[in-house]
Amino acid sequence: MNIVGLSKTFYKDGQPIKVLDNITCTVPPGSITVFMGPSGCGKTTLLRIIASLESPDSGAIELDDTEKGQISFLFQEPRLLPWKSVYSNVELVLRNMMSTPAERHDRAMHMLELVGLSSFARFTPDELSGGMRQRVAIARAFAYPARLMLLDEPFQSLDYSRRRGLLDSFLQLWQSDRRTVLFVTHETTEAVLAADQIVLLSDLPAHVTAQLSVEGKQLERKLDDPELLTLQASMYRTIDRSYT
Amino acid sequence: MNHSTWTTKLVLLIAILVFLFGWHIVALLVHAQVILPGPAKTLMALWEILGSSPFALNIWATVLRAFESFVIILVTGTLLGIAAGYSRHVHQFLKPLLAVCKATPVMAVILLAFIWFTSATVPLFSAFLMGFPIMFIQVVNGVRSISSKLEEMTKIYGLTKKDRLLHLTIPSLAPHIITGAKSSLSMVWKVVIAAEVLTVPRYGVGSRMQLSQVNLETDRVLAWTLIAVFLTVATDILFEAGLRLPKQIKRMSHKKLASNMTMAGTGQ
Repeated sequence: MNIVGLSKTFYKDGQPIKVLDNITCTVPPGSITVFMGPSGCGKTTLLRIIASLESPDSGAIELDDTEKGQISFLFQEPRLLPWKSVYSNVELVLRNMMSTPAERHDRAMHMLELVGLSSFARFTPDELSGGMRQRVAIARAFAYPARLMLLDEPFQSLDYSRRRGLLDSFLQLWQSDRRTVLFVTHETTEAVLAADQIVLLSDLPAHVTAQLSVEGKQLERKLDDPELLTLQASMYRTIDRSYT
Repeated sequence: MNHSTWTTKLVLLIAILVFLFGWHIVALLVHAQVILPGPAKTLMALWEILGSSPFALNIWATVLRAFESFVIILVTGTLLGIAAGYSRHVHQFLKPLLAVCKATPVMAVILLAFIWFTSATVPLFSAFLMGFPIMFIQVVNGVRSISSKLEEMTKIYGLTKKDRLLHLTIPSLAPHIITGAKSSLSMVWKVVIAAEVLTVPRYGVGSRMQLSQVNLETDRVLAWTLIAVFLTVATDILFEAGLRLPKQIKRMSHKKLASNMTMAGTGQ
């Protein structure tokens, strides 16, 4: 995917607020690209434009042939239908894709099994913890047969250990089904653990300040790895520079 | 039954006894059966009414009118409420009707309806005009409170319009429809009986009240009032029980699932 010269301005009380300023970068197919930047810098707007929920003022998204079509979106909140069971929340997004109930059942249950929630299939979201609900959202995102997956700070409301657990669940699923992932976060640890490529964005109006690549398989990475520590230090330096 | 439930029931019983005692004392002081018969006399009148031959017919006529009005309000209020919730133009178009319905005194509606319609149709028409705004406003608010985040999610995941209606719109509206239905139902009872009192159709609780009043049978007026209260309370209880049913079924299925899982876990 190529993001070419993307710009977007919002208007509040007649005053223009430029959010994105000429964002340009390349996202290799089947990789995880992390967009990092300060809170409120327009990362979510970028994802919403890619998902066609917003339109850009200028610029374009050029998709690889394999990425065209459906998009999976992991939002900041799980966005589960509260009156549906865990199973139905996953199965519902397959109705337009799979005609037979048996197929949908197998896929939904398989995904729930992968995130460790198959025994909670008949529970409703309000009977689950926040982390479990987000795991259901992950199962739903992977169950949906989209080659492009957008993640908008999906673990932000959780404590560190739960965030790590969910990130590992996500990465395990991704390893077995490598889709193009655009992952927005402001956590450097999440970025270095998940990314093949990190795109650093400045404060408003957001523009690309650095593009860093991360080597090695995601699930084998350790946070105390000297290379990752060096990478994090370099990210902090770039972020600091963009503020001064 | 726990302590707090016992206390609540005891307080309720004491309140009823105090009310009956107060009624009895005031009736003794007034000492005129035409103005205020005591509770014993009223209960005797109630007993007589229950044993009289057209009793079921009177109840049935009122229940049928209330039920018909309620169904009409439920269907039109929901459909027009959905349309107005999604379209500002529809909402603007219906605003004058709503303003008139809300501001017109119920007695004026009944009197006008009696000029235009037969005595059996008046309760239906009047109940509709009084109950419709309640249902309509609830549904409009319901449509406006549908989560935009969930709507966005269903669009991203490519749900069809039919699936969005079935799995997002209707469940989101359900609490509002229930609240609207409950409020309009109690309104329907009051208006239907009031309309029967004024128009005196052949059968109906309101007609019997009116005839008893004309004959200065105050004990029977009070007895029919008790019957009207009972009808309202009974439908309210039935309504609540109907609402609890899905939750109870779910709880039972959860218990069954949990016991199956325990049996599977212990290898039984």
